[in-house]
Amino acid sequence: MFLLQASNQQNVSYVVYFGTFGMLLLAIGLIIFIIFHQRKVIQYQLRMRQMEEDQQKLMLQASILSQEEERQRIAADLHDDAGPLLATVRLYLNENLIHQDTATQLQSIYNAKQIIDDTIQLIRNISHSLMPPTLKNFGLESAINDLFQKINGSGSLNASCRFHDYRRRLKLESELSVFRIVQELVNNILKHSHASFIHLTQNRTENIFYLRLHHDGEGLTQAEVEKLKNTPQGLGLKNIQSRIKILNAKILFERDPSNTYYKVTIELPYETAS
Amino acid sequence: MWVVYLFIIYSILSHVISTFSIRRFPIIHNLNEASYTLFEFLIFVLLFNKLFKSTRSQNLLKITAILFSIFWISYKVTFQKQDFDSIPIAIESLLILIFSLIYLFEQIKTPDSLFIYTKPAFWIVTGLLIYTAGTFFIFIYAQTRMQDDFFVRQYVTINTVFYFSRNVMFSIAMLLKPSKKAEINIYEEHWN
Repeated sequence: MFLLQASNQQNVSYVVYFGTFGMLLLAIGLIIFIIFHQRKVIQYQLRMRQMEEDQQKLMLQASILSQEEERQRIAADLHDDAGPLLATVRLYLNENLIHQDTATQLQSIYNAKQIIDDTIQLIRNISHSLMPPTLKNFGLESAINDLFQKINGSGSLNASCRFHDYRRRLKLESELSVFRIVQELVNNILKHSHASFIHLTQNRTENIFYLRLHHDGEGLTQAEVEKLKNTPQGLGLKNIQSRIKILNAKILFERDPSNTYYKVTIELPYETAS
Repeated sequence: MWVVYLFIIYSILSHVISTFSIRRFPIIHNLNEASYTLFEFLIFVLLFNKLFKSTRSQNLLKITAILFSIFWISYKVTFQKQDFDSIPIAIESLLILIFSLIYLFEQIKTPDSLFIYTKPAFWIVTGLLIYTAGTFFIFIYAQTRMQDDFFVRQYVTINTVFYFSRNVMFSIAMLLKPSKKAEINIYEEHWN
């Protein structure tokens, strides 16, 4: 109100000139600030985008490497195991068999049959490792139970799982992805953690499917996983992250507050996975 | 840009009507002078409606336009004979300052061009910002001090300088054609 009450001509001039100058200075300062700040924001966004693209490249490389390893393993199994077995069967069942006596023929046929049975089992194992039939026919719960039973059978540690509510099955592709994630996590635990037990629990709400894996060995926290994201190491983790991204899920690595065990929690929305 | 052209045409028409009707048609002259503030504000509201990205800002614009129109009508009814409407003009200036700031802050939050000064809209808003900031104080005193010759000289000087600055920036905006290259995604701009 002082502005409107200034009646002296000189006061009015001062107010007008200084006020105008001040407002102009503010306006120009603001415009300059906007120009420079906006460029900084864009440059920051460009840097973030670059980092994301680098990370995606690393994940893609990890995925390709993983596929190549799997192919090499299958090729090695077929070449080193199945190939020699079938070659041995061929030896038993050659043309000279018809010139042998009956007992020798029977023995050769029996040996050939044994080797063929072993080959069938070998091929079955290769096929199961590509796509576990239990998963396809009976679902994720049965497949994980199977996996944990095999681990228990090895005697290396105590593995158990408990599905609280799995009446609503996920899509087969999602179940396969989740199974592979669990497989990878379990492999990492077996290889690196020196744990004595693994326990998996499943739960769900209306919209979210939860899986939690506990173990008492050496594990990773979320901070350590974030650090590994931007390095070429941690192939298995990168594969897990690729699958998590495709499923539109979340994964969290934590240490229990009592510092006695590590846990990994997977949250998967039903809308994308079923 | 067509809003700017509309504003320019309206300004020219208004000044022509004002000049030629002052003796022959004083009623038209007075009506024209009286309504200039309101129509100018509504044209600027139209301009900012095109520039604002968020729905919330656009809704704020519409509400402000309605409220200002109601205020202007009630002011004109209450204070019929005024040579200069300092209060409506001051409020209009403040509102345009606020809208300009909203536009500039939207450009920070969701930038769509690496060089903001290549966009015509930036120059239009800058012109309005500088004009309203520069003439704010002179317009506040104009209603009560127009009888003072010294003040009138001040008024003419300051108004002319900032009017000229605004028009120069509008001209820059018109010369800057929004090319397809300037509108492409900022990331593509970076990689190209």
